[in-house]
Amino acid sequence: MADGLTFSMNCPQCGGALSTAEGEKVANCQYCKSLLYLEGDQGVYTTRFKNALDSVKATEVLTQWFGKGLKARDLRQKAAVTEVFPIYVPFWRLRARAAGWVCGYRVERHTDKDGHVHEKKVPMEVMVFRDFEWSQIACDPGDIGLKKLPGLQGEVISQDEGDIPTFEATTSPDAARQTGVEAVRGMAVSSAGVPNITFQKMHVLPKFLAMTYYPVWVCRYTYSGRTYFATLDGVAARSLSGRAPGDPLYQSLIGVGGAAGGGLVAGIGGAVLGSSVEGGLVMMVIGLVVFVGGFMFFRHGSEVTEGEIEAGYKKPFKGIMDAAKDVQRGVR
Amino acid sequence: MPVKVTLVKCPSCGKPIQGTADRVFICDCGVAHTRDDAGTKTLRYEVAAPNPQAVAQAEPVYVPIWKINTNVAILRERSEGGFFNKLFGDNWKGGAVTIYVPAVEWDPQSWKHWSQTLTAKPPQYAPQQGFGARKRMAAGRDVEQAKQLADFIVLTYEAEKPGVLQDIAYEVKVIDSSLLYLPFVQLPSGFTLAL
Repeated sequence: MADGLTFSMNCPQCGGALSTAEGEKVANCQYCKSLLYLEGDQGVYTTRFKNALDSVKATEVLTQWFGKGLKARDLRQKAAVTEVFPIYVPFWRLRARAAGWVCGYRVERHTDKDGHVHEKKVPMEVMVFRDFEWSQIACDPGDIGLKKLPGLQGEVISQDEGDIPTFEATTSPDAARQTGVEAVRGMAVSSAGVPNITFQKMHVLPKFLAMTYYPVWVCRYTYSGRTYFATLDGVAARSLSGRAPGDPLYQSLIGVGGAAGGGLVAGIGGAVLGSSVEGGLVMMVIGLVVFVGGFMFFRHGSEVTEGEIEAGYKKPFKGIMDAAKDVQRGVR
Repeated sequence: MPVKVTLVKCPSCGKPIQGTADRVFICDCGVAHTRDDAGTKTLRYEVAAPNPQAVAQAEPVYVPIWKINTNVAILRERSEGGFFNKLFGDNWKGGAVTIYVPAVEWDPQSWKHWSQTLTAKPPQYAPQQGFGARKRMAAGRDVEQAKQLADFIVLTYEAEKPGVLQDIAYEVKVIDSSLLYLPFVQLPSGFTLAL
């Protein structure tokens, strides 16, 4: 992961070139053996990934993206690219060691041969003692579908690339550190896997807070008179997020297939209810999810989305999946 | 320039400090200090003399350990099952405890083993002046983080008593802290205390 990031600089004593890993506070000059203290701006280390695309390559990546997934089949031929430009997007990154305990219990249910449901509380105590990494976009990205740092592989540069605009960070280092620490605490507690918590104490020891500028290419294009967009990873040359027109054929097939498949599974679930309550209920829920999913894609699939963009046909799934989990928990 | 590079000088004699990268800077004049973006802070430290017999097996290396003197109070505790207290007896409710927190970036298992071993059985050592020609490991954790880890060690002791901990209220009051360099030898089986 982030272990590969290094900074290059010169020793103020002898001028020798030296490099050090991100987050290190102290470096040692290999030439004059001086010890050097590295002071970040308000404790923040800044890294900037080198942009690896130009507008021609970005357009190629975009055109390849047109042909993937459930997008309109003629998108590659009919889309007209109107704008392709790079920006540097800032992301906060925090690496921290979590050290603590989460105590509580899980509930185990079983049904005896007479059909009586028995519950048993199984006490749990789980230690968490490991590193976590958190990242979050440091500016208001609008609706471009970027929330977390896309990757950590690539060449790191120390100077600005003058011709590429940079989004300014809109959150302060203190606010980012606080948010990051709380997020790591949440990840650590969650990683313990204790469903019902009676006690928790989790220390979070930050190793470093970094601001990472990542090159993102924003592409706009039109199709059948409507404007769409996509964002591309300027380091890994791949798509990150975007909106694209859907295809009526895929809409119809998924709508019909979802209704038929969902109905079939739910029907089988209803038939087996007599022999297995749990299995029957689970199958009925799965059938319902497939049915609703197919319908929602049919209803909203005229536009497909990728990346961290909320799509119309994806919204109902969260509620349905939560409900399905509740049902599963209930019958266990 | 996003990162400012400063030459590390001794706050006592002003001489540039040479050595390997470390969060604790020890000058030839014997003064140790730590620094953060707010400034420098001098530090109390001790170096334990190695046992000559242990040194015969392998060349020792000095490992920095934070010695955190605390007053611990267990106010309330509830666990499911188990009645035995492995470390402090059945009904340990706290008291003065010196907690040993390794300042090195050991793997979690080794770190936990040595923090618990040294805290349960504090090392007996004779102090010596300086490190001689022997190496010392870099301190990767500052004293503020060590205080939080001391709290974690207390909680770990309580949680690892027989039974499954369900709730606890406790206090760890830090009285003072210092750094202790203990000699270890690295054998194929891992680190061994060379006292």
